[in-house]
Amino acid sequence: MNTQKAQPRLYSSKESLLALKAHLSAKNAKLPKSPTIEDYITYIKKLSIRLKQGPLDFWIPNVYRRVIQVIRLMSSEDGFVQNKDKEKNFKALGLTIQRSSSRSKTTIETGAETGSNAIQQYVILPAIDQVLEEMEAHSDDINTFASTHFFTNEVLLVYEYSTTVLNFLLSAKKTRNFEIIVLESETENLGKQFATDLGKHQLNVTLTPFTNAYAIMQRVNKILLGVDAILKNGGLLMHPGTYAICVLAKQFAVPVIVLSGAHKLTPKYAFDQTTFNELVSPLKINPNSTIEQMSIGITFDYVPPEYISLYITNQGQYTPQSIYQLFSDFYNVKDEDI
Amino acid sequence: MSEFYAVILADNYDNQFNHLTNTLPKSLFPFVDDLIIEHQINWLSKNEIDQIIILYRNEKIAEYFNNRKRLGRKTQNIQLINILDSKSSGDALRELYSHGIIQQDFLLLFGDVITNISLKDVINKYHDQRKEDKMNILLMVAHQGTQQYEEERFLYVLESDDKLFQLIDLQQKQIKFNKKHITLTKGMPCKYVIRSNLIESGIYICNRDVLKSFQENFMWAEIKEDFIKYMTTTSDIQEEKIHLYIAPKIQVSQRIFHPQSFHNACLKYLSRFFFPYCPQQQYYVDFFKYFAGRVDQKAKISDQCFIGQNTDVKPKVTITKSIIGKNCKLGIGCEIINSILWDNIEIDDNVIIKDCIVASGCKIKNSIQSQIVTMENQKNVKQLSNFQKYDDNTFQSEDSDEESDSHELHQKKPKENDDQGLKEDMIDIVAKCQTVSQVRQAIINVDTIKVNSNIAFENIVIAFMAAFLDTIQPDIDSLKNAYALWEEFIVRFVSETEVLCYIKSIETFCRQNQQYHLNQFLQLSYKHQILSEQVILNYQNQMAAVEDDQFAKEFTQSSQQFKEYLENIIAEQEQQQTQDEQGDGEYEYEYVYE
Repeated sequence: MNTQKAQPRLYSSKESLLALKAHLSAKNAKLPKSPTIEDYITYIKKLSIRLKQGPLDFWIPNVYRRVIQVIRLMSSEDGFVQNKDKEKNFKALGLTIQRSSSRSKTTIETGAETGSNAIQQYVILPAIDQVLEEMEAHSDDINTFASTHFFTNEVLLVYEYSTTVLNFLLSAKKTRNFEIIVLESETENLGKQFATDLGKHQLNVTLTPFTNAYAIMQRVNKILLGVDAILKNGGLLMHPGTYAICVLAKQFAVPVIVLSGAHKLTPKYAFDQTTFNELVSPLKINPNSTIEQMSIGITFDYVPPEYISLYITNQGQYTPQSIYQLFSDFYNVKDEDI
Repeated sequence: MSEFYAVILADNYDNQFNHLTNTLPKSLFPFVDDLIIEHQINWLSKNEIDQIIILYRNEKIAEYFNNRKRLGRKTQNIQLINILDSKSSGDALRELYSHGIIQQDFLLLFGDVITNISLKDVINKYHDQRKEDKMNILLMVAHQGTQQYEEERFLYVLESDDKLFQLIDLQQKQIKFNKKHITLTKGMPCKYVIRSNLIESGIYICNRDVLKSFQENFMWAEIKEDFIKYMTTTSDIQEEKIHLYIAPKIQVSQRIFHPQSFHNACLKYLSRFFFPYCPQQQYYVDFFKYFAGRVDQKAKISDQCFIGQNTDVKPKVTITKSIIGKNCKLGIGCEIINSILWDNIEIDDNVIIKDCIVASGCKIKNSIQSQIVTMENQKNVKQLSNFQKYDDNTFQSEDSDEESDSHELHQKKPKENDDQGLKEDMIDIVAKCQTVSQVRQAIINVDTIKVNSNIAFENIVIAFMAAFLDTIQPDIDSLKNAYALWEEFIVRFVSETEVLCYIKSIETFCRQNQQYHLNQFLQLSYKHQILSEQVILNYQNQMAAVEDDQFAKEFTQSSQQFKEYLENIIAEQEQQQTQDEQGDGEYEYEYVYE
């Protein structure tokens, strides 16, 4: 029997960070008495394994990996080395902080150990806040990077709903005019929603069914895609149907540009369509399926790196061949197993 | 939701699975990889319902739950309530009311429902309707689909806001609509909607008032026939209302009424219709094949099959749309078509199992079709000796078991013409064969004749012996040669049930021709392992007891030595078994010919 949760994506990325904060400050957090940085890191790793919705849930581990990396960076900068002598100094530091803070009537929620408070207050919580800030502000960075790639009176093709692409288009509208074609997916009904959202802001939008993709592809100048996960070899995982569009684009020599926040970087490798994929109910594709005539539905489409032209993230612009550099800055190799 | 109870009626009150439910309640049937009740508990816990009450009638459920240890972060609070003297689900509900555990709302679930309906929206709708009107006491959950089985054929007459107006049973002869006049207004849709594409899922969300009304009307037995019918027919007098929740198209459920729906539910589960409740990903091989056991490369397994853990599938096995449980042993050359096999089953070589349900622990030696086999009746079950491979007629009729019985009876008595033709064929075959390889070819020929003309083993043996005994001469050497040549053939066709007619045919032959001695035949048969010691001894004792027969007396005298020899062998075999068998003894016997 399957032991995964029935409702997928219970936590979005932001919510998972807030959940991490709540878990750390809970009274029965299972941390050792005087936790070091390593203890916190293992705690966060265990928490990510616990909160994960299944092997196809990439977002929670990505965010926690980033938090761990930021913790490492901050601790190495400030010189919080895990030695016993240094801990004692630490504890003294913590005591003074506690005394000063108790005078100012701020409450420290975790237990009575002062060492843990110090590390938490100066390393962990700021790390989490930094990652939260990065995530909330990722749209603005993407918009600035991406606006250099688009010119006036271009025809852009968009597939299904993507909030990143929506933000970019709304911000780019202020400086230039372009035409948008929204391609509807065959299984989900979000294309229509996307078109109406864009149309509210007086953008020139056309909604077409998926079977029209070949016919309109010669008219299209660029393709803009959102993404579910960016893999370390430069490929991406996205809504089913993306692979077909990318293959078409390559045939017509239309550049495919991917916009995403950096929290979607997943340090994993895929090599075919079934590596990170799961079969869903046939009723999702065709509500009249029976046992004799069945449809096969999948969760993700894997697009190999040769079909993509450019990745625009809030950390910079990269080609698929060179995006591995971003992984080594963004994450640590030790954390790839959560 | 922590106060919300789920009540599972873990037993059925009908006889659809007549052999199986004598010993095992329906909730403890193994369904692909786990028991039905475990699937239900898993579904309930994923929907965040942790308080479960199980109403059980069979002691086995109590035993099962006392020994149940499941790993998991969440532990469910399971209470068992005994409803031993209940004869219907109405009695069960009255018993539940008398315990007084349930204060407010609860979820009622039948014990044979497999589903993936998400309960969050259902419970929200129920609470909304309770806020509107305190008289909404029952929420039936139905899903969309085509009605396939007789038990599912209902017409749902709905008023506005999915209030159930009438539930019409399509199996009745006359259908009557409860309303005599309907007023229509121009431009507005009619107030009543009749839907026939809904299937009731066996999940009800009820209030405590439902239990109260069952208590008041103690004649009520069923939920659908009595309670819902009463509520809908007397809706002028009553104020209580029943509503219907129609699940979105992606959520389905399946109830297990009878073997066909059992098989259908298993195939749907394998085809991932109940996503995300599916077999484990690690067993997944191809589209909708799940192998948890070892499968040989030369075995042919179709789509939508499940092979349980520790089950060895040997080469040349064909499995089509079947579910096989744990620890099963399948012999070489088996064919399993459209069947459900539970755990710990042994199947001999070259056996065909079609459209059957085989319970745990059985051993199948001959081909069977359209049977339910349990431990108790596995010896009495009609095991086909003349199995028809392409017999689709039996599956289409309603009472398929009875049809197949009469079908076979007709064919067990072969006609005279066939008999004559068979004898001629045999004589031809026997005359042609000079070498052992030709004998093997003859085996194949006779096999095809047997299957095509549907002849019993007995008739083949009789015909063969007649032809065989014609070819031999009265001297010893020709007998020995003949037996050495035809050894494989005789071993193939003379099994335990045919030894008697084999010996009988030899006996009649020897009576007719005094030159041949029955004793020699028996000794040679024993040497070539056609007959076992016990069989020969039985026959000899039988002959010794016969009076007034010259032939029998002569036979007993001449076979005295052989008899003593056999008795010695049997005694030594028993000794060996008690001594744990040291060394293999091969005894040389000097044949005494008279």
